[in-house]
Amino acid sequence: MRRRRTCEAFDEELGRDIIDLDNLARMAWNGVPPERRRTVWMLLVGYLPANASRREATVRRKRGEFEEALRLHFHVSPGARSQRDQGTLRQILVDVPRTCPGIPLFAQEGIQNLMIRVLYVWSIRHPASGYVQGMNDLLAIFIMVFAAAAEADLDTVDHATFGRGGFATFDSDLDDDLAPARPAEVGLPPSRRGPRGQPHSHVEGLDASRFSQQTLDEIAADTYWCLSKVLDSIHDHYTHTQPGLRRATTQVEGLLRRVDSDLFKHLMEECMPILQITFRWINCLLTRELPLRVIMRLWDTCLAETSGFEKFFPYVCAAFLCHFSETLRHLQAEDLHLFLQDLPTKDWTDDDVETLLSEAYILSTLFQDAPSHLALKEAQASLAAMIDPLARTG
Amino acid sequence: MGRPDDEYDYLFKVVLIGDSGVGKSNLLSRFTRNEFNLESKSTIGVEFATKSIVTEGKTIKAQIWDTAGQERYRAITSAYYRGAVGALLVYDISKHVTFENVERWLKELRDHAEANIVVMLVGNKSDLRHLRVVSTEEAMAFAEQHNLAFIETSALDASGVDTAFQNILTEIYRLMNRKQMQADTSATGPTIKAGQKISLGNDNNNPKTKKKGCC
Repeated sequence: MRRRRTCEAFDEELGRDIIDLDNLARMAWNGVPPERRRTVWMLLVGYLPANASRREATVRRKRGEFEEALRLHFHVSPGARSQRDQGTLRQILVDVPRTCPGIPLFAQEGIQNLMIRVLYVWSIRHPASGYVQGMNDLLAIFIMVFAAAAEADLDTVDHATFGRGGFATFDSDLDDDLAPARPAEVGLPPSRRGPRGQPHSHVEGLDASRFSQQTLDEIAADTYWCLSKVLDSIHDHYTHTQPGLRRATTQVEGLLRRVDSDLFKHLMEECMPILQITFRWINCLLTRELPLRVIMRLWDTCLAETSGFEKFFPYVCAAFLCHFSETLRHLQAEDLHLFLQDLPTKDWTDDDVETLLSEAYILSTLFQDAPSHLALKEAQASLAAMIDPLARTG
Repeated sequence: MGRPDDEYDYLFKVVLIGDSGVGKSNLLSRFTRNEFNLESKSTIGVEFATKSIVTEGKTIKAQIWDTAGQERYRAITSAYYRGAVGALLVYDISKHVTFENVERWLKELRDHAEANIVVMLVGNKSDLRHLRVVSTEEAMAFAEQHNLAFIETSALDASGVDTAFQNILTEIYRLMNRKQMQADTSATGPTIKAGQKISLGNDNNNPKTKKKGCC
């Protein structure tokens, strides 16, 4: 298996005046150290520009735009909302408190308010789908990563010993002199001092009450734009009748048929439609199937792939399904449902995810041309159908 | 294999429907596992659980499909109405809008479910007395008007939950027997068509066998 890169390896790339995004993606494919994840994800989704000199101005402008969107759409009198928008808000208010139950960060008022705003503004600006249940889970992933980084920022300032890279809070209330280890601006080479590669093992126990309102606002804006980038790439997963999700499912089904026909046959015999299995997987990008701490590793790769959640993700799902093949093939209808509803992944580690990703990668190299072959066949078939009647009439 | 669960006389498919956040998943977990979770995640698509009960000397296994409440998921969830012989249509007694939407859910059932599906209106969260905005009388009148069974429940304190499932399963069982008898008596007559319409678990009522195959 390919080796995970260290912070130093990333810092070298992140420190360039113009980051080579292809190179960054290649590195990120094999996993991003938690300390660099926020910056790397922001670059990979295209929120931060590759050009260091444009980064600060871009983020300032984007944060300003989100603030403006809040003013226009969120901070309005209740009477100004259409019935549809009220329904959207109601749905979001029902779902936000049910996000990642058990993780204290998401029980905190500041974080819940932030989520409500982000999801609501996104919905208003994307009326073709609006808010769909499960988007809260996707937002939660970004919040975990960005909040962990924001907390590290605080610690850096407090203790001035934790060297870390990539991204600094703008317009900080704190005097720069207090934070010698903090890079002066976004994307500058981080300090090489301090502990390296320390995992954010406390990530699930983050305390948002330490954040100023400004920090929360920044997290809101940053997560809004990053979530938007991801959702834009898979928007028709969420539009009426969810065609993108169905398309991805068809692809998983095709893959399964080829690589594990025994499992495929068994599932068909047990009347288990593949959509029944993949619906939640694709809708929530596996956030419901895997523990949060390893989801981030999965997302490193999906964000590193071009249109990863659209194009690469079906291979991940197929590999994930095949992973449980042995067990699944011995289960019958009801037990199949129950097993799939509650997969035994709670002890999964990054290593398990990396094995999964390797398998998905192999599938993608073996079969990625398949769709175009199919398309060609379809084209030929429809051409034949067009010619045939002509031939007969002629 | 060989669990007591495998032995049953009838297998009934039941769906749980209603707005998001009214407590459908908790009603299901309270009934099937005697569990309640104040902070459960939203349901995406459909989830599934089973439980057997005994009524009038017969063991009835309920196969319950818990559906996501959000409208966007209707295209997916309505596919699960097929073959369902019962529906628990749930609202939250502390949120009036969830009661107002009951009519829309009835329309969903009319459009996608079997015509003779037994529907029970369930006012959940009855423990929230101080927050109640849908009165029992109002709901009962609505249920009568639409020919629905009605009950109030609290998945949190468990009141009414077993009764709700027990009642709807018993009612389905009785209705099925009644139709079966009609079918038997009219089997030789010219009106056989009426009898044949009983799709109520027709393929599910093999006595004492483990159900295998399509659900």
